Amino acid sequence: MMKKVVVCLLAGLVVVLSAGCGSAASGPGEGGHLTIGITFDRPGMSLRNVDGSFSGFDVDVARYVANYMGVPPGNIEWKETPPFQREVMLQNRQVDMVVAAYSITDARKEKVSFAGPYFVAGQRLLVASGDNSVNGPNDLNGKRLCAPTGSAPAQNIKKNYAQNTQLQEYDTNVACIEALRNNAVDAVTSDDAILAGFAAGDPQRLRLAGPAFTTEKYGIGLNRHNDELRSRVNDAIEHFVADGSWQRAFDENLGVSGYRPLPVQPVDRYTTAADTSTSSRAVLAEYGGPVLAAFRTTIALTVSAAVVAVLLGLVLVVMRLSPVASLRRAGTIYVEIVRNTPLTLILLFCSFGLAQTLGLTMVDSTSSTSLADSAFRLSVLGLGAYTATFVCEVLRAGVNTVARGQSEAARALGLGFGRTLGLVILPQALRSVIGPLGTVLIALTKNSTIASIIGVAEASLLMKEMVENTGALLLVGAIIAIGFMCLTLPTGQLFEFLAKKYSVKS
Amino acid sequence: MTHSDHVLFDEPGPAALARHRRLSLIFYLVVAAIAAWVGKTLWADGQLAPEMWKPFLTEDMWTTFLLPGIRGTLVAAAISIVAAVTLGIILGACRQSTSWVIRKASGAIVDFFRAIPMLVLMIFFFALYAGQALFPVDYLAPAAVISGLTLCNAAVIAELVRSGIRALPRGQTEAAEALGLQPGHTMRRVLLPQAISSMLPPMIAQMVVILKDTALGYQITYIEVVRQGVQAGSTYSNYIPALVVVAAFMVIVNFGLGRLAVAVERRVRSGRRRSVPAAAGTKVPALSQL
Repeated sequence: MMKKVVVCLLAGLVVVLSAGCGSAASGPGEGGHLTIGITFDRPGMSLRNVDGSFSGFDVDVARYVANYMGVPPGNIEWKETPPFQREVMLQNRQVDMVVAAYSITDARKEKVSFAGPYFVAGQRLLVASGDNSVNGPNDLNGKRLCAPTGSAPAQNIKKNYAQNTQLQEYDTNVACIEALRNNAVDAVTSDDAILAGFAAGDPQRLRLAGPAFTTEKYGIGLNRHNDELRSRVNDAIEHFVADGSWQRAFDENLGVSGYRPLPVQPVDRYTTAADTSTSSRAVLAEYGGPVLAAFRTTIALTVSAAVVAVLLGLVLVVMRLSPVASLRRAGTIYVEIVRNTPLTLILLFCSFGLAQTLGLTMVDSTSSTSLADSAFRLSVLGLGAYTATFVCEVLRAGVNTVARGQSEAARALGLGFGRTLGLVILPQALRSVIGPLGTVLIALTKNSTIASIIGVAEASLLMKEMVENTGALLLVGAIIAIGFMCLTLPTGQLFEFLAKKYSVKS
Repeated sequence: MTHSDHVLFDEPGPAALARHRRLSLIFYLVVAAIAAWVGKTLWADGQLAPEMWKPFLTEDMWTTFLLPGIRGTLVAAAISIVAAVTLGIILGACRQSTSWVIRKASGAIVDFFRAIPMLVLMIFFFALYAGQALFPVDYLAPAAVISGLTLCNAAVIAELVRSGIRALPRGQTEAAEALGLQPGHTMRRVLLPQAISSMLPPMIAQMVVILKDTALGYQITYIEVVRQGVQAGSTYSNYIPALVVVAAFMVIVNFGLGRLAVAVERRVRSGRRRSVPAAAGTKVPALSQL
């Protein structure tokens, strides 16, 4: 019986997992299909609208190119391609082309090929419209800047302008814009074409500041081994510019922002170089220091959050066991709500709710590292508040393992609630919950990775960046995995040992 | 589990009752003051204005953003729960195998996946699946989310099953052996069914964990409810209200699952008390629910 159930479940799983394993793209051609990679969250460039349709300059370019090759709009399949997946998806032909503010760079040319450029943008700054103090990257000294995590603009600022600039990283442009609106950062940096779309959407509060300080040529990314397709896409782009469609698309999507792009350059029909393989070991050697720093952050985050969690957990368990009904109820409500909310959401609340809306940034805003400190402390608070619910429940379960006679004896001696709990019950309960508390601590260590969502530079944030920059997935995965095992396995052993040593012998 | 197991305080007399009332009053005043301040700040910031909340009454908000997100969350959770429970039971049973190799191998697998953060696993699988073209583009993120959730939680469930088997009275194995059942049979016919039923409540608690952890898919572009909520928030410029709505959804669903776990536990307990009084004191490992 059991066997049959297991077999059925496994069979079901296999069916579900393999259901989608067809071939992705049937290839472009007369009446054929095209799978085009874009982004979904850049107004003016490529945005998924409220009704589920797509619009923006990149979308118009893609539609024109498709139409030029005989693919009707209905046969285009739009795919969201996150920045760190674009090359891989093109290499595997999971998308036929990527039209997503995709800058032509030599490093990328080793992995994919580019048609175009079809647009020339540059990195710029977006600031609040009332703010006249920032007009270029050199005005950023002492300012707070936001950029998407690990993006080229963020790396450029870090390398060339970061001396006295604080950098906040969120995973999307959208989160950065929200932080700017909330005055939590002074400027957002990205390509001007992308920023212009956001400025156009909210001209009263946002404006583009200063001239562009890099040149980004946007190309249409294609698989590296399809020169015929590339030359046809290049033809399409030439027509797109020549027949006035380019200007129309620009006016329609980005015209209102008052943004003037650099003139379009002629398409570059370069010859693809032979395949080269870069040594991933050389790149990885650069990461020795950052890996250690990231794990130091992970440890600091875990330890601080553990202290908060234990203190708050103790308060909660006292509340939940106390004779005062209102305190009991409040403790229960807190535990039920916080325990059932995903940690991702709790941390987002800490960053956008507590810090940006309520102003509880928990740092001296004049400090030169206020952004990083704030993200770190907010994560400690969020992780601690979340983990405290589990500490509380573990302690409560521990109280139940203490023999009933203990509390009866304590009360018979005339001890009140505080002393019964604090002097008699909790010390004994603690001994029996050492093991489960170890489990909570290990879970906390692992959960600290989620702090990357509000830009804390811990291990998983670095892992993403390393995977993107080196492509040495197995090696990077192994390094991070071993790092975490070095933290969690000894913790588990230690707590197992302590649990045995202090166990209550009956 | 109420506090009725332990009575930590005497029945309050008139003086204690008055003291409790004063304490309650102070506590309520503090809470009210905090709530008032939060409310005032939010109002001043415009977060409570009706136009921030109106989008949730429009059809597009739900059809474009929230419903696909809710669907993504539930689908990933459902598949992962089935897969994790299956794999967890197999791994847990293997850890009690008579073969040294199987025992050690399954132990190593369980320890490994209990040591690695789920987010790290998801990022790894996402990159792996994309790099090896194991799944078509639409299925990359779901496959990575489900793989991560399944492996991490299977390791936890394996531990639950193992401790469930260990908690069974030794007589069960001995009786099965005396009847001439082979080790495999003993496990499948005698031990596992009992272990699983006693471990059902913590397993359901683990399902809450799986449902919550689908939110990690946010970071690898999986279309789940938190990610969709954030996108909706940026589209309608109501970030905070969107987060509140998503949090409410998650709390309600998880709270319901938690209640289910309690109900099942009660049922399992009362059922066992009737049939096997000896096993009534089976100690459930305190924590699996992180």
